[in-house]
Amino acid sequence: MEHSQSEARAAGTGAMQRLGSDDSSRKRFLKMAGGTAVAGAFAALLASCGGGGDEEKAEVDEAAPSTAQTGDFKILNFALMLEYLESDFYEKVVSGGMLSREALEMAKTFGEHEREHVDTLEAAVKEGGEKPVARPRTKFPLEGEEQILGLAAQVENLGAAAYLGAAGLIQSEDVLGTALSIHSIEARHAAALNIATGKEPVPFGDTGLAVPAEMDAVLRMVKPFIAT
Amino acid sequence: MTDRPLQPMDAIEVHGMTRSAFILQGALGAGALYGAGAAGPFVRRAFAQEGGDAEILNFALMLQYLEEEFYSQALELGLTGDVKKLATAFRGHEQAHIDTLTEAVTGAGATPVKKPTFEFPIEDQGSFVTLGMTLEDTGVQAFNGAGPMLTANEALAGAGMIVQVEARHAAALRLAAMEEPAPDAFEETIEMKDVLEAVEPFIQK
Repeated sequence: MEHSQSEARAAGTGAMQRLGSDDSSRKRFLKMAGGTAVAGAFAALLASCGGGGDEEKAEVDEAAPSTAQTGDFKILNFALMLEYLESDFYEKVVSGGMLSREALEMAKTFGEHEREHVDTLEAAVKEGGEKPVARPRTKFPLEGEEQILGLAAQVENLGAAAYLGAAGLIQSEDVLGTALSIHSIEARHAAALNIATGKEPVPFGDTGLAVPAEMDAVLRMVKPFIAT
Repeated sequence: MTDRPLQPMDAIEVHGMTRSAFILQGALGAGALYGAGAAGPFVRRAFAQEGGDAEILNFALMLQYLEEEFYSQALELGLTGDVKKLATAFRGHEQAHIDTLTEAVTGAGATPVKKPTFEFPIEDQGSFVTLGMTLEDTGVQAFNGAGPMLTANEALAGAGMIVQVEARHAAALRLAAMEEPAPDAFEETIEMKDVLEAVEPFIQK
């Protein structure tokens, strides 16, 4: 444990140092987020979603350098895409009839939270005069309670990591406030599901520090759940 | 977010008060019951010296001192089973948060706030779980309230890594208390000054 503790803590501190290494780091990260790698991955993922009609899809693959505002909208749309996935996941799980009473209650409650996140994020994107990302069609391997809860834990832990990774890229205080208010709820879901599946509620060794995930990594990880 | 419908939890808890106010009063009530009455100037003095990120980081450090001490005292109560495991792991996390925040405050060119002496109204597993849940919920809401005010990315990133762990603590303790792990779709926020008032009863002058 000591070994993993110092290792993971060093990783956390390293991330903090990278983020804080210069005054313009937030802008620098935004530029990266608006750059080809992430925007490209996001665009490719969205293109593979299908179903929504091309004309309805938000323009996320902008070649032009991001202003703070377009950067925040990209992040809001990224978060919205994750919430669509989570919301769909719980909808399918709840209607699938494979859960026992207790697990079903939890899935219903968490699913309702995800629906509210979707509503709030859609409204936030629209209020800024931007288009919400097209709702992806999803596919999840749901073959019994154990697998469903395991997948739910995986998705929620990823969601929490994604919000944590994106928070530092956000420019607007309001958008940041909204992201934080969702982040800790995703973390609560993740902890509850970890416990339900016999794992540690705080799966970061003894570091005491959550591990963030960057947008492109998150997009790669959710790709198997997007129906093409 | 302002026009979202009232959630059942909001409704149950009461009489026109907001949830955060309710939680604060719960915390205050617990302190008062224990006989640690009036709020003193300790905390305000400790925070009077600086503003900006350093003040927020010191505020966070103070909360982590409180939580670490809370788990330490709880572990002397003879906790058992899963609850003992949680308390042991969580105490370790809070110590790690203390180390991280102490470094961050120093890095911001300020002096880390001194660790106060705390005392908590807990006497068994049940009272530990109930107060623990309240303290962790309050901690999450305090971090979320202060987070957007941080200006340095390093500070925000660190606070984010800590608050996610606090949220997980809160969820686990809520489950242990047979409560919903996530009582609402969005986390409430609490202002620093309200949190400081709420924790004063646990501080021994």
